[in-house]
Amino acid sequence: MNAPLPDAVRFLDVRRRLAFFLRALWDQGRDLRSFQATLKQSRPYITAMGIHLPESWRSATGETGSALYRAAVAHAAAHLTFSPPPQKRGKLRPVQVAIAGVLEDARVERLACREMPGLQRLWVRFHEAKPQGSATFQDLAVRLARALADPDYEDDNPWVMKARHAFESPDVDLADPSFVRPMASLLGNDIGQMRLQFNAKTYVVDPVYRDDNSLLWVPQPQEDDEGIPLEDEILMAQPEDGDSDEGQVLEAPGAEEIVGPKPVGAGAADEADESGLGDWLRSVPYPEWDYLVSLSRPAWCTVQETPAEPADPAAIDEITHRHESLLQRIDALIRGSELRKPRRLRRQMEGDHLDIDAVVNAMIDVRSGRTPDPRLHVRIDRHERDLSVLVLLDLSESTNDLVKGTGQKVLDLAREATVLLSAAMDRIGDRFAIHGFCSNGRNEVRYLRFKEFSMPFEDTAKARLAGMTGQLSTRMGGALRHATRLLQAQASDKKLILLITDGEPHDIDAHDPKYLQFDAKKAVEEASRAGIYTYCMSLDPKADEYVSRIFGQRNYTVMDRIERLPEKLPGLYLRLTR
Amino acid sequence: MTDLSAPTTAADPIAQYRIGREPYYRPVGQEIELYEAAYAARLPMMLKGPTGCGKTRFIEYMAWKLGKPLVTLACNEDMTASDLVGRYLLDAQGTRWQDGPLTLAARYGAICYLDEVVEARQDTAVVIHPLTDARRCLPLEKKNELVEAHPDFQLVISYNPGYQSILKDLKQSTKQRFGALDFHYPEARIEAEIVGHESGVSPDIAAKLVSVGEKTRHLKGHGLEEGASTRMLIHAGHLIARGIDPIAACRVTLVRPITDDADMRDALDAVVTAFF
Repeated sequence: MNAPLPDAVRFLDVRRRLAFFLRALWDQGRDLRSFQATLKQSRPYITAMGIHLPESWRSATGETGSALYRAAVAHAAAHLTFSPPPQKRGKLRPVQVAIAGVLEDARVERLACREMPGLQRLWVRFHEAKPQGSATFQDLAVRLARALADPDYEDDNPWVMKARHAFESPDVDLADPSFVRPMASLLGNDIGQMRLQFNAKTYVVDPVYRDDNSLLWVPQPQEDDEGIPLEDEILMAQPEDGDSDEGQVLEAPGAEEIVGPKPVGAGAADEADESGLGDWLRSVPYPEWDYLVSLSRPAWCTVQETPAEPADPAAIDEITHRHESLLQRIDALIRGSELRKPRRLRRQMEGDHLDIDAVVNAMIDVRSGRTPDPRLHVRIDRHERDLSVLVLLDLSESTNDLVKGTGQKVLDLAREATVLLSAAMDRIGDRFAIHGFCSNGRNEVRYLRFKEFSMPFEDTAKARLAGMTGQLSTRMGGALRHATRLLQAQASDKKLILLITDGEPHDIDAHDPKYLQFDAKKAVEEASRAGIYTYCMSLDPKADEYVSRIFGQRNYTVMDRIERLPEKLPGLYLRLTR
Repeated sequence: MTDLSAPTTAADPIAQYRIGREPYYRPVGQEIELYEAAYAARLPMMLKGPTGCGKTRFIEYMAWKLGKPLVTLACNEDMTASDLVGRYLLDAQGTRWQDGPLTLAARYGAICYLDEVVEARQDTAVVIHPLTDARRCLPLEKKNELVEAHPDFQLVISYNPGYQSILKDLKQSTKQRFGALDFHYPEARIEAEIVGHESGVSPDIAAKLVSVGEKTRHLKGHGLEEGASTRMLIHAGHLIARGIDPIAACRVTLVRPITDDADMRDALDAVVTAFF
């Protein structure tokens, strides 16, 4: 129904700036999602998954469109900050529920404006109600919404004025939501006495930036025998599939595109011997940390070295070709950062050798009685860089998810990023290895080596990278310990594990998510004690809590747009090792 | 070689480093008391904290309060040990020894403040070691002199642990010589007082500026490397006090300097308009 204008602002265009806006003003990391607006669900809604906004707003173009999205996010955030937990509807009639929604909307906006007065301007511009017009309930509700939001608005309707007076009364403490319910109840009775029709099926919250207020109420079971019988079961517009799964998290259709699991690389072990990789097949037991008892469980998890399946290395070369211009930029970046070559710095105050030209000039100055230039030396400036990097890739099943808007899997993007990063490290001359891991319970943490430190980044390594697949789970601790051990054998001055992951540690036999997190944290600490830095690149936008717990305040980055990983990773690496 | 280190002002060679007027400093916690005790024990100190939160102002204030001269040196990558210690210079007659800032401070009893010490190369940082333990002396290898630190001398460094580069960190052997004071952006009420005092804007505007600053700090690690510092808020206040519209002032002094990302700029502009 809502065919947007061609130049309407689309959610995808503003998503990132909205996320910044939400994070800045409210310190909220809620996910922002889009849904396709329908007759039934045309207003934003809030679930445990995040804040759901329409893909576009019909007729909202240019500045107005962005502002509308911003108003919607700010309003939703005000709810999340100030609204009480969902309540039972109890004996409230649908019309009273609708009025309670209007009052609650006004209440949370007022509270938000107390701190941030400028938000009022943002919201008020979308209130378009006029004091004239038909006096249907929908109309009055919109007028009331405006009367409560806009102090300059005048209305002559007695009901609107009564509601406004009640709301503005000095006895009302806005910070305490308990006044909303009785006030809505009284105002609802008035509507009943005015014999105004209320149709819950057609009622929509207005103005458009406001969400459907479904977060205020406990989802109502069909067989609600507690309240009075209602002619309409759906009080507020619910998401399309809302009535089929009460109490569940409501998910908008079309929000997710997840493809099925790729077949697991079967018969890996059989081929291992043929390819001469048999000596890799080792099982190494590692301890695991149990945070509940603060003890290390000895030999609790087993890392199994698994051979990497080679595929056609041409796929990797194709990536390099596709990113030709990006590689050139990386090259320029490396040259610009002067990481590589020692430089002869002439005319220095200090240095290893004398700068003959400068000395001659100085002597001439001395003989002729002038003050000589004291900068007589040549210094060789070596940016000494002795660094070994182990890139550790999370190869769990979730890396097979498609990244929205690209048609590529997370794994493909991780592969691309790794290839570009490898090109950068190769050019700088850092020693690096590329390994990956996935897990299937504590006895089977599979550890794959795509490129060794000693191996050139050529066909063998490329073939293995091309054959990389994602499966199973993410048991980080064991893999980190194994990586630490391999890196310890390197003789470099500085050592770094760069972990690229798309989710938190989990495994089939660990039901307490904190268990694997704390174990991973322990593994990071052990690495640090062995003189190895660990840095995490997380592709999970909700990663903050656990990633900072595991890796420490400054040792991680969360990518807000996974699709930009390939172009971001090499830059991050250069900055990190500058 | 003749030593011609002729002092320019024989009476007080470090007169120019004395602080005449009381610098404005608003105490946030116990830091003054702690620092005074540390100075009394001549304990080398490290001031930690994000940029623009008042580290340098604090040390200026303390130097003034203790009546000691303050020699400040901003460290950079190209700094060598002799930039700290001193060097021979050529002149028409021959050579002349020139004390470096660290030697000057040690010889005549100043507080020597090395700003952003991680920026200096690691071998450079090592020259401060003999000054920071029981020896309290500074060997001038080239001049063949051992400078005993003046009883008033104290070494202070600043260190911003937020640096993203893992290769830039102080050695443990350096870190462990110092006591450390942690600095953060002060709490809103105090920060507003500071912004108001320094820039001359009304308390109401100052409070709003501080709120904007706080909001931007939520974005640290989420697209911003660092939120707006107290210093930036003061800059915004300066412009507002000169009659610039607050939204424009914040754009110029907060939003534009802090990010080049168009989306981030848009979000921060929206944050500013939420307050003004």
